Order: sequence, then C-alpha cells, then structure tokens
Amino acid sequence: MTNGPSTSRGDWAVQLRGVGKCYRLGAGRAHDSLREGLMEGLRGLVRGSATPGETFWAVRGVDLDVARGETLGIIGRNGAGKSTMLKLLSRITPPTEGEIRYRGRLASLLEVGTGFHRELTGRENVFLNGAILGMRREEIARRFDEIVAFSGIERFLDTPVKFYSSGMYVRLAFAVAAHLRTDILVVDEVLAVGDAAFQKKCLGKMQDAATDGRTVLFVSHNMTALQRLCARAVWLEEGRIELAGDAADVVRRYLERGRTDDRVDVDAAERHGTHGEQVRVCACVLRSSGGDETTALAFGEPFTLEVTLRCPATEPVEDISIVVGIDSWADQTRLASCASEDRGLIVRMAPGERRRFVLNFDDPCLAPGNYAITLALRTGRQSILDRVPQCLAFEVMDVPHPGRVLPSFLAGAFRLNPEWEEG
Amino acid sequence: MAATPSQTSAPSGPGTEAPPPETTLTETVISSRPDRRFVQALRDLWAYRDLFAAFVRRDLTVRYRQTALGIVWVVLQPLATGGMFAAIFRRLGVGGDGPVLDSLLFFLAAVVPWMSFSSAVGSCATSLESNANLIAKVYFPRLCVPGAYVAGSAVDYGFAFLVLVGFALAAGAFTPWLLVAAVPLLAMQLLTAAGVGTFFAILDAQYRDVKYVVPFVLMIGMFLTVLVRPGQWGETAGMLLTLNPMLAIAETYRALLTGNPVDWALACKGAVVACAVFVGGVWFFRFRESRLVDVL
Repeated sequence: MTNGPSTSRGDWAVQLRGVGKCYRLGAGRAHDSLREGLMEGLRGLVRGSATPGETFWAVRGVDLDVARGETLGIIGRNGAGKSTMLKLLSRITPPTEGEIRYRGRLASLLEVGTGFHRELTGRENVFLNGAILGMRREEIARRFDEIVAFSGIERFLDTPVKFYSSGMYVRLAFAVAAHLRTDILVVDEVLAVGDAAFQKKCLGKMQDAATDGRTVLFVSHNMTALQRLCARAVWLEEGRIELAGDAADVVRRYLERGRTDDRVDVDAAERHGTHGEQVRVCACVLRSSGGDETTALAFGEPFTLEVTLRCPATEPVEDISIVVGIDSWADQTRLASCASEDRGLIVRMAPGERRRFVLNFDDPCLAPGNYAITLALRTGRQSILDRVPQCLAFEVMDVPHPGRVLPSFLAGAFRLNPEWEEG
Repeated sequence: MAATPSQTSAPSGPGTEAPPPETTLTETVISSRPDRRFVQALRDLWAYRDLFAAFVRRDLTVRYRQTALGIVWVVLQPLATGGMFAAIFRRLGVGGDGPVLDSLLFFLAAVVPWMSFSSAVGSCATSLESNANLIAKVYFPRLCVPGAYVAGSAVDYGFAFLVLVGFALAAGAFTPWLLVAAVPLLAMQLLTAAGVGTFFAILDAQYRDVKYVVPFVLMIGMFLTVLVRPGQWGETAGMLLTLNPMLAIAETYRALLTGNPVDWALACKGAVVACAVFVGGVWFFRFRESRLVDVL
C-alpha cells in the first residue's frame, strides 16, 4: 500500500520515492542474528553469489513527502521497519531501491553522545560530538557557552568524561544535540534518557526546533510526546506505510490494532523442574475492552485476561489455585498479584481436560508503562504445580481511554484514587 | 487498512509560513546507484572537513594522554629499531662499513618513514571496527575515519623526522635538500598509507581476518623497505621490489644523506605507484562503503 501524497508542491524537505531496503539472509540458517545472516549472504555475493541467499525486505515501496517545517512522527511495532527507516533517512545505510531526496542540512540523533570519548574532557567532547553531528567548528565555538549552561556541568568541563556520572554524561551530550541547527533533524527515542525534569527540558527543545520552521522526523514509542510534537504521523507495518495522516488519528488507529505479535507460546515456554507436568498453563491472552486480543492498552482501559489450563497428568489434579502476578517489564519486580482461591475459585482438573478462565479488570489502575504477567498454579500452601514467569508482556500507553482522564501527577506503578474531603 | 492521503497537516507552530529560500538549500539525493553517490561523496568529504580535523585531534589527544612519555614514543621507537638494525646488519655487511653513526643514519633513513607509515596503516586497518558504534549511529563520509589516522601520522612523522635531522647534523651529513625533499616524500608516504590503510580498513569491516594479516604484511614490508637495495637484485626481482614506494622514499633519503645522486627513476616510479595505490585503495573503499553498516 503506497501512501505518499503525490504532491507537486515544491516545498518538501524530504522526499522518498519507492524506497526499499533489502537484507540478504544466509540460506539454511536460523535468522537469529540479522548481522550473521548478512555476513553469510555477502560472502556468497563475493564468491560470485553462489549461495542462494534468502532476502528480506525490511522496508519496501515507501513513498513519502515531508513538507518543510513539518514534524512527522513515525510509529510501528518492533520489526515493522522503523529502525531501518531511521537508518535510511539518516543516510547511515543506502536504499536498495528507490530514492531519498532532502533539501538542506540533515542531522540525525539516534543516540545522545555518539562519539563521546572517555579519555577526552567535557570541553573536548563538545567539539568532537558537535563535529560528528555535522556542526562547523566556529558554530560550536559560538554556542559553546550556551551548550555548557544548558548542560549545567560547568565545573567539570575540563574533567575527562570517564569520571562523569551517567547523568552528567547524558546532560552534556544532549546539550550539544539540542543546540544543533540543521534544516532537517531525524530523532530516535533520545528522550528516553535522564530524569523527568531533564526529559521535559529536552521535549521543550524539540518543540522549539519544530516551531523554528525546521523539519523534524521523530520516531518514538512515547505516544504522548509524539502527539504533542507531531502534527502528522506515519504508521509502518511490515516495512510499508500502513497509514499516514493526522497524528492523533494515526496513533488512535495504531493503538486499536494493538501489538498482538509480542505473544509468547506459553505452553511451550521452558519450565523449571517438574513444573507443568501435572497441570499446565497453555495459553494466556489479554483482550482489550473491545474484545480484541492486544498487548497495548490505553490508560484506564478495562481489559480481560484469559488463562487456559490443560492437564497432561493421568490422575486428576485437585485443589488448584491460579495465581496472577503483574511485574515491571524493566526489572521484573513483582508489583501486584492475585490468586483465584481468594475469590473462591479452586479448580479440579481431570486428565486431558482443557479449561479457560477469564479475569475481568474493570477499573485497572496501572500507570502508563510496560508490564509483564507471571502465571503460577499452586496447590495447598507452598506447592507450585506450574509457573511461567513473564509469559505475556503488555504496555499501558500514556493515552487515556475514552472517558478516563490521565492524572496530572502519576508516580509509581499504580494510580490511587481515594475520595478527598476536608474533615 | 484504508490509506489516508493526508497532506493537510498544519505546521506545528507560528513562524513556519515564511517563504522558503529554496535556492540556498542544496538538494541531496541518496539512491541505490553508486555512481551518483560518488560525486556526492567528494562534496561531502569537503563539507565534513571540520569533522575530519576533529577526528585527527581526537586520535592524537587520545593516543598520548595518560602516557608518561607522550610524544617521546614517536622518537624512541624508530631510534631503537634503527639502532637494532644497525647493530645487527653492520656485521652482515649491510648499511656500509663506515663509522657507526653512518650506519645508524643509513637505517634511520628507512626506519623513520617506515615506522610512521606502519603505524598509520596499522591503526587505519582496524579504524572502522573500532569506530563501529559511531558509524552505525550517524552519517558522515566514512573515509574520514581512516583518513584521520593517516593525517595524524603526519604529525608523528614531524617529530620523528627531527631525529633524522639531528643525527644528520651530528654525522655532518645534513643538507638543506633533506628538508626540501621531505615534503614530496612525506606526501608519497601519506598517499601510500592512505591507499593501503583504507583498503585494509574496508576489508576488515567485513572480514576480521584482516586484523591478523596486517601485522604480518607490515613485518614483511619493513624488511622489503629497510634491507632491500635496488641494485642488488636481478632484473625481474629488482623491477618488482622497486614497485614499493616506501623503498623509493628510503632510498631517496639515503642518497641525500650520503651525498650520492638521487635515483630519479626510482623516485618517480615510487611516486606513480603511491598515487595508484591511493586511488586504488580509495576506490575500493568507496566501492564497498555503501554496504559498510550492513556488514560491520
């Protein structure tokens, strides 16, 4: 599906025509590492392309026009071609077919502090990093004081960055990036660094860039930031443009679709010891309020969790309690849990039986973030029959479900919603 | 899913309606056709001259920071190597049987350029690999990376050359022509180093085997430069051995230091080969550069 508005307008800043990027995968090899696959494929190419390489189009047939002064957001699941798109737009890798044209100076921020050298001082790194981002030396010199003030690390300017804390490092790195003046800026999720206050400062800088009449291409998972910064968004799916248009509209459609492909085969997941031999969790599905299978929820959106059990044992298994834990995706900390026995549900499974249980979460209070579900089957007090850690990952987006309001202040994993009164 | 051919997005702020000064913005085309990118590459290299300089500065700073002796190493290395050659090969009848100082000078004339060349090629060869993270994250003309190492070696060479001049003065062999000749000879050396270095660098990006090959090649090269005299070989062997531009450089320095006539044929041959190596290496680099990120 091509989606490029075929405009005849002359004020585009970036123009993509039939852009595709093909990677060659090694034949008969597991494609665990794209890089390894590439190596094999290329070896074949050098040998006279004797190896019939499998090809993989990471991006194909993309037509896109980005107007001057526009901020365009790019969204998509992992593996949808976003990273390849970024690499193509920032010239890191050339397209296999098609053409990318852009007008003016282009800089990419795929990472803050690219090229920082441990042994060099803060001052030296500002100049080095600035040059890497495409700034002229006198340009950096002119903005030097501004950069240093923005970073707030004046005192450590002449200290090698290897002695910096990671926070200081990021501050300095972002300060350089923020003072980059180019016509076109390609930005990856650089905002995912630093503390909240600093992130806010960075977002502000990006907004400035946008209102300056510069063209910004922004790739992010942060839907709120994306909607705030971008008027228009492009949704990539399997290397093609699925939808392009008004940012709010595209984000909404994208969230509706959900990210169902992050699923894990729960039945086949590796177990510890004898877990799962008598009774086994064989499926775990999250459904949105509309009943669709999903792994992305809006904030406050009701959802259901379906847990399917089967019984591979030859004897019936009695007294089973289903335990559901919600973990932080980042560090696997247990945040909350519940057990079916507490609501009076104690299961008995006959051999070969297969049963499904549905948990309704009508008013979930999970804060926006990434979570994972851990399932366990217990019998009695201590004995664990089956346990599948982090068997389902899901995300709570920072976009409110219709009828809900995103709290103005939300720290931690849960929203507390007490009744307030003056007493 | 229905496509929404939307181009109606309003610019996200005030001040974006200013008429664009179209003519001042250069248009860049990135396509899959390499011929079009070659012209672009030359323009880019010039556009990124500040980055090139920043890389040179970085490489030099990093190399000598946290070393106790710093730049002294640049002087000590050829001195020790030259001394060793003189000590061993004088006994075997290479490098003259005159005063020890003459022998030392004979070897220094070859070792000083060679060591600089060899360190440039050595660091060039692994430069893309060691800057892989940078290359994967931001675009710049990739030639900047190995190029900066070669340019940096010129600075090292300046110091090492002072040693050569010092010994020439001590041996009474100094001639102002030495300083004059140093400029084209250094250019030859840098061209050769850039050609060989970029060739290995781009190969190493894909085949890490190169890392093991380069030190070996450089060792052979040292003997072919320091110990070989052009006149001592048969016609075919002599013709092949004199293809080495570094030999031409060493022989020219030697001729100047001993007051012998310069072998212009050899020097010219060396210069031609140096240019050919440079063009060939850079061409090969450019040829494979577009795939660099995908294989690194």
